[in-house]
Amino acid sequence: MLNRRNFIKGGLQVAAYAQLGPQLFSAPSARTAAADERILVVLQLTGGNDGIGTLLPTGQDAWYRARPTLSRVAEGAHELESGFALHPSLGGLSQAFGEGRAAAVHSVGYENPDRSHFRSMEIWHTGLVPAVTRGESPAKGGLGWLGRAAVQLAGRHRTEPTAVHIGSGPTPLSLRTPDAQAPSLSRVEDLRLEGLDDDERARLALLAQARSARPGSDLRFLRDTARQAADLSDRLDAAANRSSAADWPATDLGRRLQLTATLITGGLGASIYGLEHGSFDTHLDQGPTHANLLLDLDRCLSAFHAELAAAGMADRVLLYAFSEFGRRVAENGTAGTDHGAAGPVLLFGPRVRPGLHGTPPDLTRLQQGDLPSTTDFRAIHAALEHHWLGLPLRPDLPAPLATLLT
Amino acid sequence: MQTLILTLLLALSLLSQGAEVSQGAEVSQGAEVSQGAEAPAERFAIDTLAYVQADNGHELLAALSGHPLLEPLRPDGGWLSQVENADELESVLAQLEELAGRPAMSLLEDLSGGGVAFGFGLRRLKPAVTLVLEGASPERSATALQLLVDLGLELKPELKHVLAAVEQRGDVRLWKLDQAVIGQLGSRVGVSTNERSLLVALGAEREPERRRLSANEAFSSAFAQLHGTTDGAGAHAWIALEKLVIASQLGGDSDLAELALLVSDPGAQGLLGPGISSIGIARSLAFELEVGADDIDLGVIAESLADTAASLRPTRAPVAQLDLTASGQVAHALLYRDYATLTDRRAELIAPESLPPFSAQLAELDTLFGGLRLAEDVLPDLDPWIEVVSRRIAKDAHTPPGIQLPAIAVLLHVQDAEHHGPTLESALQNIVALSNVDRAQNGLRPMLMRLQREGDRSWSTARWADLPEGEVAGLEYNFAPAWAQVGNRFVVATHESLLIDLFDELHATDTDVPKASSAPPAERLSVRGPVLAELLRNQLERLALAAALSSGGDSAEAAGRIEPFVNFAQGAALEVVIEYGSTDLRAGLSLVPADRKAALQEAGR
Amino acid sequence: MSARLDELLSPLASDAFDASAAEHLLTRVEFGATPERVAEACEAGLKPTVAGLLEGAAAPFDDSAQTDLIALGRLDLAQAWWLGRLAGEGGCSVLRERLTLIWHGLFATSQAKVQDLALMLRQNSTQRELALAPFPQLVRAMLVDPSMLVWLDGDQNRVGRPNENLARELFELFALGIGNYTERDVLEAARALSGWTVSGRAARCRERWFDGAPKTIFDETRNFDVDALVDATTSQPACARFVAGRLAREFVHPNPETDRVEALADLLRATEWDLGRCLSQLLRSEWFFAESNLRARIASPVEWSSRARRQLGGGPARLARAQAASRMGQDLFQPPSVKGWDGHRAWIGAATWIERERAALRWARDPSTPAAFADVERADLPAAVFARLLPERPRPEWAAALERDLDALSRDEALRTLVAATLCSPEYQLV
Repeated sequence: MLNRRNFIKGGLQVAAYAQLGPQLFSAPSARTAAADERILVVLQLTGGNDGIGTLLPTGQDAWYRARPTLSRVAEGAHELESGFALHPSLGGLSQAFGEGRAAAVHSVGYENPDRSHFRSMEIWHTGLVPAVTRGESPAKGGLGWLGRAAVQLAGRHRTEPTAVHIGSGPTPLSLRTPDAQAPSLSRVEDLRLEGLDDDERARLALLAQARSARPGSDLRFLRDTARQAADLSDRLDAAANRSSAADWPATDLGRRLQLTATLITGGLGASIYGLEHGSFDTHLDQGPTHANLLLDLDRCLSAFHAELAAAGMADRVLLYAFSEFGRRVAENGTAGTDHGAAGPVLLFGPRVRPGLHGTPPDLTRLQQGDLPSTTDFRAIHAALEHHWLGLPLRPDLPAPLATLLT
Repeated sequence: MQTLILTLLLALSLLSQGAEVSQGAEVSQGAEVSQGAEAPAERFAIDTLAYVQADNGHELLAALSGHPLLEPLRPDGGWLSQVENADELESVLAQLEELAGRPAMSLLEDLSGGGVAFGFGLRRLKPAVTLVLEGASPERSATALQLLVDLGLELKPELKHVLAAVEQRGDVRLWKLDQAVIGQLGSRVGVSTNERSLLVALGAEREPERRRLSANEAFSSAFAQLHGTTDGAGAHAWIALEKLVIASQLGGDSDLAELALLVSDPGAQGLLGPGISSIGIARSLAFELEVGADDIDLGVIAESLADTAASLRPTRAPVAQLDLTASGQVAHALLYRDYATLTDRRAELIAPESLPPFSAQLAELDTLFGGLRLAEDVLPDLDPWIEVVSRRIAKDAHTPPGIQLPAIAVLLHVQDAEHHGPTLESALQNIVALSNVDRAQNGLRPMLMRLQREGDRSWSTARWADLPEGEVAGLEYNFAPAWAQVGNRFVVATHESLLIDLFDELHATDTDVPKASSAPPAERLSVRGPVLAELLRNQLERLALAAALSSGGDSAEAAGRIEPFVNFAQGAALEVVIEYGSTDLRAGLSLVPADRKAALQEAGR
Repeated sequence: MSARLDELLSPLASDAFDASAAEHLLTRVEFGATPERVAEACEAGLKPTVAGLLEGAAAPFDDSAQTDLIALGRLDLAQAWWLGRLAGEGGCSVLRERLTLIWHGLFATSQAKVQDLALMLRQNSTQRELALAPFPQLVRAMLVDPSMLVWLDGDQNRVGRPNENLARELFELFALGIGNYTERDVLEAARALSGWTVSGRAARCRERWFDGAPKTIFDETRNFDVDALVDATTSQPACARFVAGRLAREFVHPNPETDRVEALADLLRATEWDLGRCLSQLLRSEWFFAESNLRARIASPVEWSSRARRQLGGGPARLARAQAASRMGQDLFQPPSVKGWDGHRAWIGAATWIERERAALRWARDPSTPAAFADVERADLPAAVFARLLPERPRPEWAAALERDLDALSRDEALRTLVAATLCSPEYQLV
């Protein structure tokens, strides 16, 4: 069916080219990302994930004292090393740790933590810590760390887009660039013109082809974008028709991460994907909510790995998960936790140095009831940019956390 | 009901398509054919999955299209203007009327005066659809058919050669088209996708008795309960649901199969109740549409319900506690929701995939009940019969919403009210407090919560802050909840003034748990149109703006589109009754004149 | 008026105002025009046409439907309502609405944080009321606008606990631009703006939260309050330049020449911010009609949608159009950040392009579309569609290819194809 459709469409387009003259063949054609190009998937655990409820400090008495209710998760937790264990929901992740495909960094954050979701999110997204902005909104800088990376990568690419946001909301600040936004997709259908038969599609496609325009002119820009969109739409069509090799949970995260995997294995060619999962804002009765969120995450990560491995692409994809802050060490009066400060980040994929990194948190040494940050998140971002995506070192960032990737 | 009407419209349009293809037929005037006088069901096969029978099709159409209750909804161009390709259909009908020199309806009467029957089934895994019309008499049928043929000739001369290839099979004339076969035998005209089905439906051939639809026990028992009760115009239908689900799944369609999942979905159980949510597991469904002079009734019998969720169904009927004649009444319902059994036996009653979130929600709710456990300590003491009332309320001193919705109150009966009343009251306070925390974290304004006391009554309220004079409030101002324990009842209302009205009414009635009525166990819902119509009319301008923005035109045009519905509501009331038998379920939906005394009222008092 | 002004903003020769020029003027001012309207403007001449447009914009308006929208409480309906006005539905002045949209983009405030439709609509009404008002008056109104105070934390700004957010954006994004103020100016301006709160949907300054001590802003020291701050800011030379640049980008070219902008700034100063007079001169200037400024802007989703509506009439319902505009990247009342929409090429990306194609198809398939061409013979359809939608353009090769293809189609299909293809052609995006 699909083949027939593409054939007809292609055939009509070729006929149209022939009618319109040879100058049309000079347009650049998109290509898929080179086979060795690396892909970074950034997963934001929105709402403030409870760090010490995820990577449990089961070896510290202070944890049990601070959390009489929530420490029950110690039962059934997956032991890691040196007094830490993963939440019982994270069986798949624990296996990934065992197989050397996962790593976590303790107590990541920044100085003078901001407890507003929005402000802290902006800080993580832009890398503009309070010391730099002196309390101003970092959002006005308008440039996200991933958007900046995408612009740099775009120079190497000939495929658009370099970065994609997978979700239905607005493109997050982290993916914002000075010129344009990364496209936001929540479904393959977003880039597919529905209800058109082949002839109609071909006729519309004609428009993008015709009429030579001066390079650099707006008309040329419009023509090229139109062609890229049609091309992207075709590639997505092809990608979406591949059958899945994994057992995906029927959840929002499942659908989005599956779409991400589909786009990667289908050869969309983007280097950066941004996603969100949550809300982790568990002020009330954290136990079941958090367990479900983590279970969803765990099953999705396992499926993601299975899907990529089946396509032989697992070695090219690194997933990084962070949250805007961790939560208070002590549980609150409603069996939940309030906004805190530092928390662990998670890396999942090839070339991570497996296991736990950074200074393990000491629950007897708190700042205003919160864990102080012992690793600057910008050092991790720098490691991802430099060691994974191969971008030049940035002088305005702390040195990359060198031990993170092999 | 909509399905039935659609089916009938479909039949009508099939008829007009039949007109296109039956041209050139030599109609044998007054052919003597032996036509059985048996019920049409004798002429459909036992494996028919869906069956519709209208003994006087044209009367039903006439009754529906001219019904006084539906009159306000009638479009300016008449009902036909709502059908797809209405223009074409109308011009065809006009041509037909010109040709015949009399109304199309009378031709329809000639063709289908003796009844219409429609069947859908599978023959060798292929869908077989058969429609047969019984003419008033062979003569009138033949004349009408001849007119259709003449019309067809005028419209599509190119079909002539197809129709010239008429086959004579005994007394039956057959025309074989690509997808269908058309046949005519005396006063019967039929069309089918399967030749054998058509011949049987026309009465030219006969199935052995054990192969007839009438030999299907489920069909005949259900149909026997329906058939013969019609005094006005009506139609009957029957669906072998269980088999149809399997057939539709074979066809790659899972919509019907999903209907059967509702019964084990806690959300559907809570919202729709044990009746409607279990319709999907019935072995078969029988429908009866009855169009009386001033009302329209649809009866549904869901037969042989699997007993998986039987424990959630009521075994006795309650008595209404609230005043059913209160002014401003919009709706009243007596609903049966056995949350205690649903939670207690959730492992067997709820689908496995819905269990974890259900349990998680229960655990979350537990935190609201101050140490009590909802499933074990609270729910078992709530009576499953819930009374719900909706009324228009009078203005009070607070900022009114810019668009006023009717207020709603829910009445629960509580055993051990001494103990549970305060528990429920504080649980609701907790919900408001927690949502306030959540709103504050998102930069939104909180609701103001107060404890009120007046004499020996006390209650809790929550409301949005009043706005300065002249400011218009949004829809959220329709929600200013108030709740209280009243004797052994717990009442939650969307508005304080409704709660206070109910205080008076409830104190007037005795405070025991309501006595079981002697009537069979049945859930009831009654919706009164006039108050709703008045509410709509009072804010027509605002609603028209919304309609104009969302569906086009300017506000005046949009108001013109809404008004028919307002007028319809003005004159109508809806009564719904769901009766629970031991293995079956009967639902009755009646559209009655608004001034008729509510059936619920009669049953309740 | 200086000689420089006469030179840089000199009027177009009256005989140069032909159909092409009239179409340019009406597209820039009113988003689009029918051939009939173009002919009317040509007949009347440039000066009366511009005068008519400005008179219309200055005439009283009725946006009382806002109360109904607040009662309905739905942002999407409010977007639909405004989009209808932006297309001139109900006979309102498109120029006034267009200016309102410009101010909405400049003082970009979003419902995403404000979360109160009543406040958002109040700001919209204020911007409409002050669409042609002197800029200082508009700035003053925006600084104490309830939704702005919520949006930029102005309602948190108190003596001893200053919040710089609003003050910084005033200088950086609303009135001056980066490089025209110091960090100290920001800090001191924040103190001048302290004390404002929002309650009961109204803003007011609470004396005890206002910082009454002297402040030094732009090298002047006195007890600045909001009025004094507006005076000081708008009398900075950079302010007129900033506003002139904005107007030039909106009406003339996405990258206007510096000397022309400076001339327009001079005019703003010389007329003491008489926006009507400035626009009148700008819209009649040779510069405005220069070849390099024709079709030099990429239409925003709102412009695109309003243009189609003005050219074709009918079309999908307003809500559907507003939703399409949101998907194309312009969510009215919800700009992406305090910077507003970046505009021009930022409108066009793969996903938003597909949305333009989708929107074009929806227009073409709308039952109202055939009505606009009801009297046209089958053979004349291509010419009629191009004349209405893309007049005065060199007819591109694709039109010829398309026409060959059309022979096989029914009249309706041919019309739909022509309209859809034209609305999502690269050429149509340029206005």
